[in-house]
Amino acid sequence: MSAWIAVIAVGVGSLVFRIVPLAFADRLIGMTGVDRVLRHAGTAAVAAMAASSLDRAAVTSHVPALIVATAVGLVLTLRGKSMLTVVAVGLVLYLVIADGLDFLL
Amino acid sequence: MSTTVVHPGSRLESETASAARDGALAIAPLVLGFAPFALVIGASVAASAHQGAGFAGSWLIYGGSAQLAVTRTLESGGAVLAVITGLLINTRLAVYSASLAAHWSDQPRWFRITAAPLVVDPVFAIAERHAVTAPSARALRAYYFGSAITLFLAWSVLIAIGVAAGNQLSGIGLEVAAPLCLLALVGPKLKDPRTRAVVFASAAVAVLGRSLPAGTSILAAIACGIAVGVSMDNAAKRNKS
Repeated sequence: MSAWIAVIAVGVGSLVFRIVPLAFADRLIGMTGVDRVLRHAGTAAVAAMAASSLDRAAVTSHVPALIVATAVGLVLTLRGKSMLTVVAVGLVLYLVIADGLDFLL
Repeated sequence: MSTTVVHPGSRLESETASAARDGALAIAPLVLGFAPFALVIGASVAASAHQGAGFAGSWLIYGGSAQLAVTRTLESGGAVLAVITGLLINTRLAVYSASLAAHWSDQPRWFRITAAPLVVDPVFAIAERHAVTAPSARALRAYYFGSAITLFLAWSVLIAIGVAAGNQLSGIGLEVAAPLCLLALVGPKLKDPRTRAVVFASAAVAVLGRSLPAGTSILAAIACGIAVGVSMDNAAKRNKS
């Protein structure tokens, strides 16, 4: 029973975190400095997610293969390739290099 | 000679359907990228003593890190600690919603309120990027719901598969798909020197803060990124004047 209460409490709290800023957006936007802060918040959030996700992946995957896949992915991204291309090329490279390393070592 | 009359209503419907389809397609690589995470959560739920509540967390909490932390903390630390941990991790959702609010200030309130429960990391990342390029307010809404509902359905199915299959699906390299997806979203921001500084500062804090309590490293990284961005804006303003 306490497990259900805990899950529901976190669910309600999470819903509040999601709804309040969006419901009161019209009051929030236009306040001094808020626009500037929020503009950078989006970029910072996605960058933080990408970095911590890479960091987590480095624990469970082949690091050299991950580095190559990430570097190639970054080059493709900077050249304007789609996310699907970046993921497909990166994933294939990762699997080929990881298998190659497993075979050699 | 025959002429085809296109009804304005059908043109709008077709624009909406097309935007919703584009949204679903845009989120597809992220669904693939986050699949291993969903499978891990499913496996944790299967191993937990509170399977019903744990699985319901997929819809009620709807945030992978928080759900996983709540499921695990319920086993080891009790309900109160599980609630505190889950809420702490999901605090970042307020930042995502506030950031989307800045882009959606011209959208009707009904949309902002119905869109809010589906805000989560991958959806935020896609919606934030699309907000700048959306051809119309209507297309933006359709695109958002197309991507958010696709992720919601896929997430539930993947967690159910994780419950059934456990860790049997590991080893096919999917663990690198999520970072590659997020990299594809961050990459374009590296072209502008000001946003590049925000990206590097935020990424550095996220990695260096990995030993901080769950969820707080992301919050610290966001705060640092904002501080760097705002100080660069101020410096640019001073240089102009």
